[in-house]
Amino acid sequence: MNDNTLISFRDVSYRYESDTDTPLPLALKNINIDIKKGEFVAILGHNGSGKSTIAKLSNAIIMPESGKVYIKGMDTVDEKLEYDIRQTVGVVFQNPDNQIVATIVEEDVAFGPENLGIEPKEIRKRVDDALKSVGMYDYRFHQPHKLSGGQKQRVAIAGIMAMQTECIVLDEPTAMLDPKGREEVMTAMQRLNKELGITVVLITHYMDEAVKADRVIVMDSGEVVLDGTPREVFSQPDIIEHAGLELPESAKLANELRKNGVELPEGILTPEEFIEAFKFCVSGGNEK
Amino acid sequence: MIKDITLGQYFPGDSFIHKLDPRFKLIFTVFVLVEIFLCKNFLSLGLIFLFSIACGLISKISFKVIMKGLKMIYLLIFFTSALQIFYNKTGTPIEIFGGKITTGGIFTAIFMAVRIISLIFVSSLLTYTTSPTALTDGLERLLSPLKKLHIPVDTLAMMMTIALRFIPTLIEEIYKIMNAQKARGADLENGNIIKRAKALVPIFIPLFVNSFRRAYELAFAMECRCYNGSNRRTRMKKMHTGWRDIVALCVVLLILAAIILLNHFFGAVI
Amino acid sequence: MTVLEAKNLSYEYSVGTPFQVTAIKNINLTVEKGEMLAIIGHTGSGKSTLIQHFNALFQPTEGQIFLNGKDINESKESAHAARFKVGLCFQYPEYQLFESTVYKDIAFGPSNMGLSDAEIDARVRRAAAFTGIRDDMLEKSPFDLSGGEKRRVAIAGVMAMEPEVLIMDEPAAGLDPRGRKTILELIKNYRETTGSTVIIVSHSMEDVASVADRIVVLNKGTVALSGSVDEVFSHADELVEMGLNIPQITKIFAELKKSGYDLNTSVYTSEQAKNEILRYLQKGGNA
Repeated sequence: MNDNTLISFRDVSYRYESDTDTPLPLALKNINIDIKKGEFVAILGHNGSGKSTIAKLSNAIIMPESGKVYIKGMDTVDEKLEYDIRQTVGVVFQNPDNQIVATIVEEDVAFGPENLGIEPKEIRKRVDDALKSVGMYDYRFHQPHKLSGGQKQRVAIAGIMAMQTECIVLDEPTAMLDPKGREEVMTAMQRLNKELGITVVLITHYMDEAVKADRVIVMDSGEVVLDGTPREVFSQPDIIEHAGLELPESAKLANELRKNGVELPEGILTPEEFIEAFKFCVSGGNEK
Repeated sequence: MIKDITLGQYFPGDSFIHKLDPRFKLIFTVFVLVEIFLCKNFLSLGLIFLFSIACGLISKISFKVIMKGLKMIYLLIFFTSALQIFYNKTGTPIEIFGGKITTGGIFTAIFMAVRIISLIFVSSLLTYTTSPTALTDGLERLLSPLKKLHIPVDTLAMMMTIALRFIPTLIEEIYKIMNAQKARGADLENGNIIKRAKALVPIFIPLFVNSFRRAYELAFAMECRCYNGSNRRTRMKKMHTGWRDIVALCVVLLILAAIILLNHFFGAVI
Repeated sequence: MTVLEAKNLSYEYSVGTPFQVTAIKNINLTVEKGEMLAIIGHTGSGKSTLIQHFNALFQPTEGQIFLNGKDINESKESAHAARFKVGLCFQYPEYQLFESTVYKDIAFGPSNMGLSDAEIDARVRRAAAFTGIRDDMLEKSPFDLSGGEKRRVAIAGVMAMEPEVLIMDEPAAGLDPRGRKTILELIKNYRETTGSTVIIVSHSMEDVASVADRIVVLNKGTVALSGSVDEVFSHADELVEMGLNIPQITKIFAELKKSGYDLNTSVYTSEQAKNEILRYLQKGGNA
């Protein structure tokens, strides 16, 4: 583990408690993940693949059954470090309605810093900065239940930002949103990562979101099956499919065409890349 | 529809009244409500009524909105006044439409109506100009001496905030579930009491199940944001007692004095 | 043959208060028997309001709804009957499960119809089969099931009423790719087997492109576009302006066409796209 590692999972296993006598199968099986400072990591997996368990483990909400989770070297089992851990890694959940506490946007964003016992003046500054960074400053006096899904989710992100965490883990933040809301949240996340240097861990099952990350981790039945850049990961269509996921549409099309003898390069992920490669193929193919 | 209720809503602003310290605002409101009850004749009542209207004007909240809040209690005002007209037999009798009523009855009816309107007006002004969080914070601080008696005032205040936050969400959810069950042929409008009570089962079970799920998720989210129920929380918005509160205090006391004098020197209507 | 028709339909919320909002305005729409119609629109476009008129949950402020040529709001009885003839399955329907067993929950709709026990039983089993609910699941509590299973139980609850028209509001919302595929397959299969009319409501173009015969696009409470899947997708720019996403593949083809490649742009899946590009390359002799 070097100094740059923010989140470190060492042989972590986890099992949810069962209501009956027969124990449930392991949700996570001996996984090892290291997330470095400043990374934008997407964790992909179908429902029940164990990806959401990772969010709760990295925030000391639940403890591993075996193995260790370290946040900047702090063991999450150590109760004394609970506050420090939660000030380092913040979590945004799927349902925006169930994580907003206060009745006014800015008061909700202030909730975290208030719990930390921060000076009122400093809270004010943090709240304003956080709301500006997600583009919700103009809505600071609004009532949360009157906002759209994408707006609520950005308020939730601001709530974590105001705690000045180094890393933000988002557990399927766009699953309940419409295309516009998804885009708003994606833009906000990319800004936090690129402009403010915040480490972002995005748990999702949308491929087009994962393509935008620096690194993609694919989970299947509690295990990490792929870990690498989007290009590396999506060049493994069989494993992706087996994990109950689909390739991004552009990648799927490029693969199919390659199988049929069309000379397209490997690693096409986005529509832009496909268009460029196609144009090159059509003209370049001729010149050769 | 329940959705139309404005009572208890908050309208952000920066008027004199908005800027009062919530603790004082709470005390003032209670004070004014008591003053309304102290009024014994039209002069004192008129004074407090004008005062309420003035507060409404200062708060810059549109009267349309305030009147909408009153809509629910029109019926209450009407019945209270009607009762007075028919049962109060003081004063000069007048005969209209073959029935006998008295001037005393009419006066008390008007008196009661104005009194109820003023009461509602003043208390809704409190919620219109104070954010629910500020209100609970204010209440929490006013009640903080009770902590010495081991009453968890701060936890209770947090519960109240969450309740306020989730009321609109739950109302929306009730509508959704009701429509979903109606779409499956549930009959909520017809039948006797037992049948109707039974018809509520398909609505309340999902509502409870969903509320528990919400509560569970909310608890996680709050924990993630370092809430643990016992930590010493600070607040973003400090409560400042300023010149405004002193001015307001003077006004409220002056009105009290005026009411006592008016009650004393001019006879009582009731 | 037209099974469902909306004529000059308008609906306003909170009529007579300062909060009055027009949700839908002068909508004219027909649904043909046996077709799979998709209603598309972003959140707040009025699509939820519209579909709740089809089974008389909402009474229009203006206009009428005709089911098989009869105004459904003609009488209390006809409105009640419309609930069963037009089955409406709401978004996230798993949150409305309430019975102690899966079987009883699916039977809730049919038993409200006053059917015989034998008929109810037959319908529950048919609906369970359509939605892939195994026999051993029928006696379980719906609250013990996984998210995807709950969703299927809730859908079965509406299918068991065996409505002439089945309306599904965002049936795949919140599911992962595999779950989405399963649900869409199941709806397709239901429609092919029973020949029922199906209306599917969504904001995901990718989902509906592969299953719908026809698309109606709602925007700001009015019908903005309507026609075959091809016709609607040929208005790509307008769709994006309305806050809707067109499938990535369609986007690529529109872009290539703009750059002067002679491609057919009515393509929504990678399968169609592959064939179209292969066709283009062969014909053009460019490869």
